[in-house]
Amino acid sequence: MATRIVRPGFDARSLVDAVADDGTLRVRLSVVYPATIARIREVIAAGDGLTREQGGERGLPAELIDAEHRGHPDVDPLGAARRLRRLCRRMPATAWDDALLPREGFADVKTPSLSPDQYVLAASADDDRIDDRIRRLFFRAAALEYARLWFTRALKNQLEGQLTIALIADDRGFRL
Amino acid sequence: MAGWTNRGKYLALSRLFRGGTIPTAYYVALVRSTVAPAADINTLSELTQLSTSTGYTSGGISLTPGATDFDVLTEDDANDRGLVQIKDLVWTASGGNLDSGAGARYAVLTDDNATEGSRTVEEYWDLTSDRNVSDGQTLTLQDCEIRINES
Repeated sequence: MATRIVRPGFDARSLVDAVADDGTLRVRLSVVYPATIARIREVIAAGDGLTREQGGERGLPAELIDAEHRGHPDVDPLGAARRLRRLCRRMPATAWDDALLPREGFADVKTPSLSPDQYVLAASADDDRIDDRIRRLFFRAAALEYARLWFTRALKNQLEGQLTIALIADDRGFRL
Repeated sequence: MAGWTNRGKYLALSRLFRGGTIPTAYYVALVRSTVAPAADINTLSELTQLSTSTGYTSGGISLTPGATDFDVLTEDDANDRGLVQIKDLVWTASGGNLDSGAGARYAVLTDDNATEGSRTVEEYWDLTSDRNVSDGQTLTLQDCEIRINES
């Protein structure tokens, strides 16, 4: 792995368990989710004032900033950091707690395949027919998906920008 | 919702197992809410793209198959799925609002058929609300993913 930038605060590369012969980065869910969710909570708690000592840059989580601006010139290098922080902030705090609890403890229904934004929309819908257990399940799913996107974005910024990742299900409790 | 169209599923299987032709390029186009993309949509002509005079190019943004434009590939053993992410895509409004209508509600991935309206819609994403930006502002799509799930 060729490192481009090493940032304080959240080092996604340190969470990679192994690199396969074909370059696939193997990561264990029991490592990635707790570490990333702890980081998200730290960023949320800091409000707009995430310090350099906390791995902040202009108040934003530095690991989500494309400092080398590899994308299209019109893409705001701070855009992903702003967006993911905003989306994570609007989540209920309990969703982050639930994300770290085993899936078996939640509603015994199949979780549909949605984007995290759609999980939040469904969980927030003003509809009496939606059971509170389902709302909680959807917020939990959104929290896990935002954490995955946070980790992926951080890793992409830290490495060469093109990734192949294997998320190893060492703990099936982390399924959506 | 986001997902594959049935035509997209068919083409993916064809390319994997029948030696079907992989397009030289894919395109991500923005469409209005007039017609919602769904599994049984076939071509771009069935949908309504944004207006094209103020920053949106008809047909959308071109993507080349490969790790540059499809920059994150993930195998997810917890959820029994595979995912590929598309690089960040940006449209900049120039000379007025990006769209003369309500804006983009959906993004769709198409092939590169020379006749734009005949391009096959293979994947679609719901942007959850109409998105329009004013002159000089940008509309950026981030973390768009294509998934294959076990049902």
